[in-house]
Formats: sequence, structure tokens, C-alpha cells
Amino acid sequence: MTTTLNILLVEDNPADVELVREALDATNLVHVLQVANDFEEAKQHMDSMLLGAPRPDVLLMDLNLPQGSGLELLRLFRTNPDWQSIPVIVVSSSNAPRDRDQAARLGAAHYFRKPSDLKEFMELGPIVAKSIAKSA
Amino acid sequence: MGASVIKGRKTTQDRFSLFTDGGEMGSLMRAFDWNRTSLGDPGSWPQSLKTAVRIILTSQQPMFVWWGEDLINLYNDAYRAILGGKHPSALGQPASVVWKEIWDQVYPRAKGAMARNQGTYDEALFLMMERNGYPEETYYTFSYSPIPDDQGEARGIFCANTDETLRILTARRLATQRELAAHSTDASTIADACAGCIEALCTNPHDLPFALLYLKQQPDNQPLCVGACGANSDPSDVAFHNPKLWPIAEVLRTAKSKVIDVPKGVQVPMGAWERAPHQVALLPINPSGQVGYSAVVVVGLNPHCAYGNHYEDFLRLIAGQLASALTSAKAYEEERKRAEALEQLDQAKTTFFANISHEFRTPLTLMIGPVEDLMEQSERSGESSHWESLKIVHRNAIRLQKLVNALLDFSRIEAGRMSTKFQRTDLAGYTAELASVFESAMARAQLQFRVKCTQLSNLVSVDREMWEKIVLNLLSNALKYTLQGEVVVELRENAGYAELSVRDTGIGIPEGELPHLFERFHRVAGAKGRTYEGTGIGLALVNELVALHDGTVKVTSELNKGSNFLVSLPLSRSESVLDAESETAPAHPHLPRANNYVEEALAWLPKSDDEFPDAGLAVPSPHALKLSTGRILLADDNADMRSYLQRLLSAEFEVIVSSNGRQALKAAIDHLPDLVISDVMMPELDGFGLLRELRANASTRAIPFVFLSARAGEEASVEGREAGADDYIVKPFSARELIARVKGTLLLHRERRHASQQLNQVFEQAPVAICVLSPPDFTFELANSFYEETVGAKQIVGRKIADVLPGLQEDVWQALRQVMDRGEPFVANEWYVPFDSNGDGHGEDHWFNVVYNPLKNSDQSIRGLISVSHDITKQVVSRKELERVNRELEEFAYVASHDLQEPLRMVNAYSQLLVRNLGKASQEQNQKYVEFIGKGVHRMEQLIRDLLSFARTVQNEAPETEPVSLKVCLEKALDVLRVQIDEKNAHIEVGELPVVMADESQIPQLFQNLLSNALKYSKPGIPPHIRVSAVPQDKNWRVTVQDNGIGFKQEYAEHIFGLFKRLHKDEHTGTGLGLAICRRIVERFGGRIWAESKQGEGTTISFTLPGQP
Repeated sequence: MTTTLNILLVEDNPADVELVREALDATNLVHVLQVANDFEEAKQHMDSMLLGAPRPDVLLMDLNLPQGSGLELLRLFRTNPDWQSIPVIVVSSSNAPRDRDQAARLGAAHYFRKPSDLKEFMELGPIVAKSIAKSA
Repeated sequence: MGASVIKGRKTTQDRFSLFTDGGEMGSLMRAFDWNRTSLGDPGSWPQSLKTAVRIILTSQQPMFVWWGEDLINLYNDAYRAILGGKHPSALGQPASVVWKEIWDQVYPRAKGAMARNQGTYDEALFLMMERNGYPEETYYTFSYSPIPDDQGEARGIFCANTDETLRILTARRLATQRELAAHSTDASTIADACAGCIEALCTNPHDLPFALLYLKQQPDNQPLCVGACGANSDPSDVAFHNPKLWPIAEVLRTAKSKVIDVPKGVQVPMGAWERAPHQVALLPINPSGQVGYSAVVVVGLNPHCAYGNHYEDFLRLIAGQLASALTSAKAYEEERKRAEALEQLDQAKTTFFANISHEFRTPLTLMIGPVEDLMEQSERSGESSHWESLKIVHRNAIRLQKLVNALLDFSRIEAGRMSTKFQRTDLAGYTAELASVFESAMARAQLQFRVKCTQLSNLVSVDREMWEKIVLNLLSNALKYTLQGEVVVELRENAGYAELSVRDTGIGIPEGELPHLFERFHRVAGAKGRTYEGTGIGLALVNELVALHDGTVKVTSELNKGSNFLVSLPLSRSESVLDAESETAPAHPHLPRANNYVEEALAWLPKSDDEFPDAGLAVPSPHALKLSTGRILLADDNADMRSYLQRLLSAEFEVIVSSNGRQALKAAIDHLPDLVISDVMMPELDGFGLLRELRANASTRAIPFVFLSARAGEEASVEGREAGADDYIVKPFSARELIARVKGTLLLHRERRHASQQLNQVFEQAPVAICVLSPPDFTFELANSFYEETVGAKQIVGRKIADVLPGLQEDVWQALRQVMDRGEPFVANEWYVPFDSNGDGHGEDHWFNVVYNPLKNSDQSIRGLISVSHDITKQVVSRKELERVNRELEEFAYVASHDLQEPLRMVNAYSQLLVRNLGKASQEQNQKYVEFIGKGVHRMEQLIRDLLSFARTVQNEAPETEPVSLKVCLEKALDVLRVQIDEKNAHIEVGELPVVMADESQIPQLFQNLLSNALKYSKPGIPPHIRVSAVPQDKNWRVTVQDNGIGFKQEYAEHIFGLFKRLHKDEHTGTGLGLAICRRIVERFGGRIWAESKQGEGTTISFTLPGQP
């Protein structure tokens, strides 16, 4: 039975949002994509869960958020008991080992470097599917 | 006499036999009426009593028996003496009555003996008996034995006595005599002797309850109490010390001792007794006063002793001892005074000898030396114009020398220091030769001169030099005082004497003068000789010299007729004395010396100048300053010496003269000579003082110093050198020697200075900072000019490093201290040592390569350190600058590429999307993609432009500036931003803007960036209000761009000017380079840029640019 997946994307660059959307659409996952543009909106999403909103099945987030809050948000996701179990995939333009390490340490399931090639970007889709499958 | 009861016993017989052969006491006892006593009739006496009585009556030793309750006294003949005046009444009396004055001592013994039935024994017990009318000091040895009655009960006492009084007293008095001897043997002055004697007398307050010693020194009239013993023996206590109390004068006069009663009302000490003496004995000591003093001792007499023979003898012995003590002390004193006087005299003589050489030698040097030189010169050059003058001078000099020598000789003879050297001599031949020296002079004087020396039978032992003096002196006199006629010299043997006679037909000597002729310095008054010259010492010397040969000199003379001097030497002397020399080398006159006499004599002849030239040496005109090989400073208080030395030295040197030490010091400081020559004795400041002052003064310290002194001897020379002189030259000196030594010293000094200068040059010119620090406070001992430049201080030598470089960091101190403590060098490379080198109060950055090296003394102790520092600040700064630029460029490259990647990625991705979706996607979709592409491209464009702009500002060359109108530049910027300005409805307010020195191609960019920021960061919904204004500040202009935007926290004010630093990321587009570029532009032209802001309250950016000159 295919349930509709809930995917939360935290990304402030609209162009990148579109690209993620494209990547997800290219998979055959039935999904609903919600977008938070910054830390505040992401928090609002988390809070709304308490009010009954459905839990995301996977989180996609950029580290490069306004006011440098990317890592903080990641930490928040990974320490909150409600969200801990949700796999997080970091989608970042940075290839710095430091960022990768941080993300790994904080428990990100995957670190996806935003490529300049469209085809490569599409590889995000299967990665998301895999991670959802893993956690199920 | 009571009748005895005849009881039919043989009492009469008994009585007789009991007392028979008992001496006087036996008779007295027989006659005594015993019934009056408790004993009763002797017939009834117990047998033991009778036996006891029998025993005592037959004994030669003093004995008594006491019997019965009341101890009736019976005694024998020998005991009578002990009783003294109590005999004979003491017979049959109770003992308590007989000896009532000593009963308190006697009775307990008697009673004890009887009670215990045990005898007593006392040896030399002191008993104050009153048996001769006065309390008498006695000593007895006695025993009490209890006598039992016939029933065995002790009823009586039997006693045997021995009088010990004399023994005791004698022992005591002997002790006193011993004391006297002991106390006075070592006395070296009369005062000591008196004190010692009194002390001794004080040891016997029994026999001498008090004693007073009066001394009368010869010139004084009053005797003085010089010592007293007895209680309160304070000589100032007038009462009993007062000589007037006692008949001292009488005793001295009569030279007999006297015993008198103590005058009424006079308190005298009691000595050992309980009562004061009532009699006093006065004993004379050296009454004649021949030894310069006379003395009397007044002694109080023991009130408990009769002044009998023994006591009298004792006192006489005491007096005798006192006398000898005083006498020997006096003699000692005299001896000592004599010795002291002799020593002083000897001292005076030594001093005299020591000084005399100095006083005389200087003028002698001045005359003889120079003259001989001149004469030599004159001879060599053949020039004779000065010859006469020179001769005169020479003559005088020699005369003086002769005089000095004669005086010295004389003094030495007198002091017994003249040493004679006797040699066996052919006296005739020698005398003839000596006489011949005067031949020509005699001829010149137009006198007949005859010499008749007959050979003597033997060689004569004479001191040849002395004989020469004798002969020549006599001849000289003869010549002097003989104006016409003849002089005859004869030597002959006469009755065991060698006789020398010098006879003349001269002016003669008045009779009255004859006895005084040989006295020193005696000159016959008014003698009409050839000259008045003459010190009168010659004859006295002759006299002494002859005396040394055990000879005599006599003179006979008649006024205006002539004189005859006769010297007689005993030949026997030559035979008996063993001469030092056995060889008999022929004697010859010492010609130079002999000639002196002649020269002098010749001077008196009419042909020579009668007036004696004054001021022998003419000082030549000073030479014009010529090229000298050195400058010499002379210090001497003698004008002639100065002239002489000046002339001597100015041939080759430049000479400055001064006449005392103080002048010399000033001249030295003013003229800085190459050499100082100084006399030792000078007024105001002597040679040693001058040397000390010169050495203490930094400018004159190194000038070589030479002493010129008359004080000869190793000691003087050593003293001079120890004081720091470079050389010590003794007068008289030869001119050649002086010049040689002067040159030598100058040369040495020059060499040293040259070497020192070279070293100094190296030190000064080294291109590294060198300094020497000395403990304990690290004071600068030396510092080269490079060092002083480096630290930006002058004249640092002598100051402490803490004062010159305050605030020097701790690790420098540590390093310095470490070097000093461990004695090991310290090396540091690229050591960061900030300090204030330009005096602006702030420390500037400095880096050094440093080496500290300890300086050690020969004993390895550390006396300081030398620091060599290479200032590498410039290199370090450049390197750091380079590093910084590199870092920035790296950072720049990294961030640039990173930032460029984003838009590039976007462009890439969306163009691909577009391609993929072309024809498939909706118009809207495609539109969106194109938009994204456009945005990406635009972004890249921005970045690249700014990067280029930034790159252009990263140029290190100083830009060429020109006057630029800020107004025009602002307008350019406003044009570019016109769209945004309108969009935002911004209001730009512009004040008066000046002309600055900059590059007009870059200033518009500056304004553009600043305004762009102001527009970008405006508050949402509020139109931006921007003010641009300028105020002058020194030689610059300060321009401000103020907005009413969102502002930022002031703590980021510096941060925002950094590369790629953005505060409000991505809400507002911006490359992060804008402000960095502004900073670069402003700083290129020598200005500063800074920001002031408050979050929510707008921002003000200010910058300065140089105005037009």
C-alpha cells in the first residue's frame, strides 16, 4: 500500500527549491513536499506537529540558511525526541570536509552536495527513497 | 698574816717544801696569807693542787694554776712577764679579776675544760690584754688542763703559755715589706712608684692604720700628698691629708724621724682597729733632695702596740724601701727622658740629611748642567762669544757645589756618619801634587809659590780625599788673603808627626780672632781679602778632618804680616792602625775636584770679572709656533728650571709652562697637552696632587705624566709610579736623557692612543647596535652610535637601561639576568621587543637578532655584558606584510571561487532544465527557469565586477594623486544608482564637498558602494534619508555618509570592512566586497574609514582624504 509521504524541505533559495521538486517528481514516490524557507518556518512546522499535523517521513535541509542557522536546525532535528527518528538528508552547496563531518556527527543520514549538472541533481530522488525505505 | 692552825701536821715543813726553790714566786707564795683566800692554808691543800703548784714553780715555761670556785691564781716566775703590771698583785687573786679584760675569751675555755674534764688548746690566740696600762695586741698559745682534786673532781686549771706576739707581728710586718718590694720594682715613673708603695702599705692596716706620702719635687716648695691609705683616703679630703698638719719640713730638715701625738681635733683613720691611732710617726725619705725630690711618709701608729724597737725598726725598714723605690723610679725616668731626647736629635739629623740634598741639588743642576751643555755646544760650533759668561757661571756653580759638599761633609762628621777610608800614602808626593794645582793661580796672582815636601820615613795612613780637602782649603785661604808676597807649602817629619805648614804673607788674623778661627761660619770681621766671599766653613772643616786623623791644626798669625797654618798628624797612628787597604796605590789629586778650588780662587784675581753676572741663563726669545711633534706642559715653581726646560724642549716640542700645580691643572684642561712634566714640590697643588686631579678628570685622564724630582731613591720613584705617573726622572738629569725619555713616553702614548682610536672607530661605525652593560643595575658603560639611534636616545653612557628604555619587557630582563648569573651567552633570533623609539609614548614594533655575551675578569668573575643586536624589524615587517597579502589572496581566491560557484551552478542547472522541458513545460514554467538563469548570470556579473574592482585596489605602489572634486564624483555615483534611488523613494542630502588629493577614477566607486549600502539596508517601508557632508580635519577632509537604515551592532563596526563579510546575508544582495573596496580606496590615498551604528538606528560611515596642499 502506497502511503503518501510527507517530505519537509528547509531551503531559502527558490531556485534550489525548484530543483529539489524536480528531483522528487522524477521519482515514483507519492509525496507531498512542504517547504520552510528558514529556521523560523522550520520550527513552526515542528510545532504544528503537536497540533496533529502529519510527521514528515524525511527531512531535506540546506546548511546555508539565513543567519547561519543551518547547523542549529540540524541539531534541533536530531535531538528532539519527536523528530529524532526522521532521517535527515543535508542538501548543501558546500563541499567542505568540516561541513560533512559536522553533518555526519550530528547524525545526518546523507550529505548531498548540490551539483551543477542537472542530471546529477536528479540523483537526489533515489537517495531520498532509499533513506525512507531504510527507516521504515 | 693570819696564824695558821697548827694541827700537829708537818705544815711548816710542808709549806716550806712546797714553795722551795720556786723562785720569786715561790717566796711570795710562801709569804702569802692563803687563809684570805678560798684556798685556805696550804697545809690543807689537796695533793693534786700541791703537785700542780710544785710543777709550775719548778718550770721555766710560763705557767699558772687556778684553783677553786673562784679560780684563785697561782703562777710562776716565767709568767710574771705575761702579767706585766699585774704582778705581783695577781697572785692569789681570782682569775676573773686578774684577767677581767679578756675574761670573756678565757673563762669559757676554763669552765669548759673543768666541766668536760678535757683540756683546751689555742694557738696564737689574739688577746687584747691590758697589763701595761693600755689595751695591748697580744697573741698567745696556751692550754688549759683540768686538775682533779683528791676525789677526782675537776677543781682547778693548769695552764702553760707561750707568747707568740712577736712572731705574729713580725710575720705581718715582713709581709708588708714583701708587698712594698713587689709593688715598686716595676715602677717606671715616680708617680707609679708612689702609687705602688701606697698600695703596699695599705695591706697592713694593723701596723699602719693610715699612711700619707708627701713628695716635694725639687723646684717646688710645697710638699704634695701623692698617696694615702686608710679609710676615705681621698687626697682631696683636706682634713688629715693636709701637709700643714704635720711637721714635714722639720723632718726633712733634720732628716730624723719623729713621733708626735695626733693633733687635737684631727680625725684620722682607724685602720684595722676600733680606735684611731693617737700617735703618728714621720719618716724622712731622701731628705737631701739630691735626686730632685724629697719625701716624707706619715704613718699612724698602732694604738695597741708600744712604739718599741721592733715597731720602730719596721717603720725604718719601710722608709728605706720607699726610698729605694722612689730612687729607682726617678733614675728610670731620667734615663727615659735622655733616651727620648737622643732619639729626637737623631731624628732631626736624619730629616736634615734627607732634605738637604733636595734643597741644594736643584740649583746645582740648573747651573752646572746647562752650562756644561752650552760650553760643549760652544766648543763644537767654535763660537766663543758666550764663553766668558759661561765660565763665570760655571765657576759659581762649582763653588756652590763645593760649599754644599763641604757642609754635608761637616754635618756628617758631626753626626758621626763620616766614614773614613784610610790608605797608606806617600804624603809628601801627594801633597806636592796637590799644591801644584795652585801653581798657575799663584802665578796669576803674582805671588811667589814655594812647595817643599820632604819625603817622610814611611807611608802615612790618611784618607786621601780628606787630605786633599785639607790641603786645598788651606791653599785656597792663603791665596785669598795674600795680596802680595809669597805662599809656602811645607811637609816634614817632626818628632813622630807629619807636619804640613802653609805659610803666607797675607793680611794676617787679629789675635782676638784666633781662638774662633776654626769655628764654623766664623769669619774674621773686616778682613781685607781679595773678596768678601767665603762662608767661613773651610777652616772648620779642616779642623774636623784633621781631628779624624787624630791630628791637630794650629795657627799663628800677625796682622798685616801673614799667617801660618800648621797641621800635625801623629805617625804612630799609621803604625798601629790596620788599614783597610794593604795596597799602596799612589795618590793623585782628583783633578776635576781640585781644579774647582783653583777655579774659585782664580775668580778672585783682579783679571777676572769682579762683578758676578746675575741671572746666569738668558731666556731666548720664544720660537714662533712651529710644527711640533707634541705639546708638553711643564709645572715647576722654580723660574730657572722652567726656563731651562722650556729652552731644552722647545726645539722639538710646543711647550706650555706653569708655575704651580693649580695653574698646571687649568692649563692641562684648556690645552690638553700630549705630555705633562711636573716637579713634585710646588705651592698650591703639589706634583702628586696635580697627578691625582688630572687622572680624575675625564678629559685629561689619559695624558702621560712624568715626575721631575730631586728626591732620589727607589722609594721615591716607586711612589711616583704607584701614584700613576708614567715616568720618574731624578734631578740632576742630563738634557739628552730627558729628551730621550720624553720622546719615548710620547711615542708610547701615541701608539696606544692610535690603537685605541682604531678600535673606537670600528665600534662606532659598526652597522649593528653594540652596547656594554655593567652590573648591578645594567648601566650603560659603552654604546655605539648605532645603538643610540636604534633606541632613539642620546648620551646614554652612564645611565641605567631601566631609565633609557622604561617598560622594557620582562623577557629581556630575564635574558640579561641570566647572562649575568650564569656567565653564558644568550642568543635570540627574530626576538620581538617593542619599545618606544620615537618618543611618542607608544611602543613601536621591533624585531632583533640578539647576542648577549658576558664579559669576564681575569678571575672569571663577571663584570658586565656586551650586547650586539641586529635590527631586523624592516625585514620582519615586510615578510609579515607579504604573508598577510598572500593569506588575503588565498582567502580571496577561495571565497571568490566558492561564491562564484553558486550562481554558476544555478545557471547551469536551469539551462539544462530549460533544454529538457523545452516544448513540454508551460510558458510559466519556462519563464521561471529563464528568470533563474538570468538571476544567476546577473549575480556572477556582479561578483566578477567587484572582484575586478577589488583587484585593482590591491596595488602597493603609492598612487599618483591629483585634485579631485568630491562633488563631481558623488554625482557620478548618484547617476548610476538613479534607479534604486527612485525605487526606494530615497532622499539624498548633500553638503558642501571639497576638493581632495586622490585618483578621480576610484572615488566615484567609493561613493557608489557607500550609497548602495545605505539604500540596501534601509528600514522596510521607510524611505531612506541619506546625508553626505564634509568637515576639515587638520590637513584632511572628513566626509560622512549617514543613513536612517536598519543599522547594526557597533561591535561589528570593524568586521564589516573585512573581505566577504556580510551581516545580513542573502536578504539583501551584496557581494560582501563593497566596504572592503571602500577601505582599500580610502587607505590607498592615506585616509581612514570607519563606521558608527546602532541596531535599528541607522549607520554613519566616515572617511578621511587628504586635502589640497
